[in-house]
Amino acid sequence: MSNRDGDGITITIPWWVVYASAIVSWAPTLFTWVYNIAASVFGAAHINDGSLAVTVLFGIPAMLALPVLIIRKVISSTTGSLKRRFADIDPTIFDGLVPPKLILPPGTRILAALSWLPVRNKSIERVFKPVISDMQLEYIEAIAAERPWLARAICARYYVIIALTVISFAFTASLKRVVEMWKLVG
Amino acid sequence: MLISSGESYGLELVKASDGALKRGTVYVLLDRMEDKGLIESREEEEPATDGYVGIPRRLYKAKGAGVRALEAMERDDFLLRGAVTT
Repeated sequence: MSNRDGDGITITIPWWVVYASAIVSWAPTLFTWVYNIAASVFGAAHINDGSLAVTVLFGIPAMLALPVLIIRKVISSTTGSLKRRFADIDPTIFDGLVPPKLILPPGTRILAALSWLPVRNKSIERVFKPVISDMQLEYIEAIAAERPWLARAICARYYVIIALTVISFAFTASLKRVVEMWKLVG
Repeated sequence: MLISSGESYGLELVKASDGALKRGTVYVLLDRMEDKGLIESREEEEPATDGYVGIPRRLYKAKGAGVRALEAMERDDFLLRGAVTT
């Protein structure tokens, strides 16, 4: 759960603790809401929502912690895979040189984050990977031309392009679903 | 463009289209065309730049069905124009 390093104590909360606390703290409120809706429909007596305090105290912090944990998981997964890839390199070859700095190609973490979307692997391969590949190519060309500010501008531009790609993909995918459902019903 | 150039990258298509295709939508469009069997794609084998170790790019090529679909569209367009002008 915790370990002590040179700078202080780092506390790591396991995933299951966060999920369990979210479920346990939200369950009474959800039950009350569902029960009261059903009671309104069938004309039964409502129950008082005494579980609100539990939700505010535990549920909301737990739900707020989830995105932070997901982002940390994405960062640690990409960094971990890079460390494993370069594990065979002898660190003494860097002796006497400027301390090495490992730089990820732009878009690596975006690609890792996109894998969390409910999208098929085929779509990741065909739609999102090519965009990030273009981004990396244009970025490398700008760096090779010794134009770092252009490279940064390309990155910023492609972040917008990736967002647009996600939106247009979501739009066409949902449209496709609607057409499929329409055909089934018709 | 794909028929005349043989195999092309998405970025090449965007640049050749003079603004008709956008970077944010070109791959969604190509994905749909591939689903319909009009084009096919593959990942490039050699990296585009020497010493560059990024994600390999994707090459697109028109299939026979795509060529026939384009010919049919052009023929329909010709017939429609003829019907409108006469």
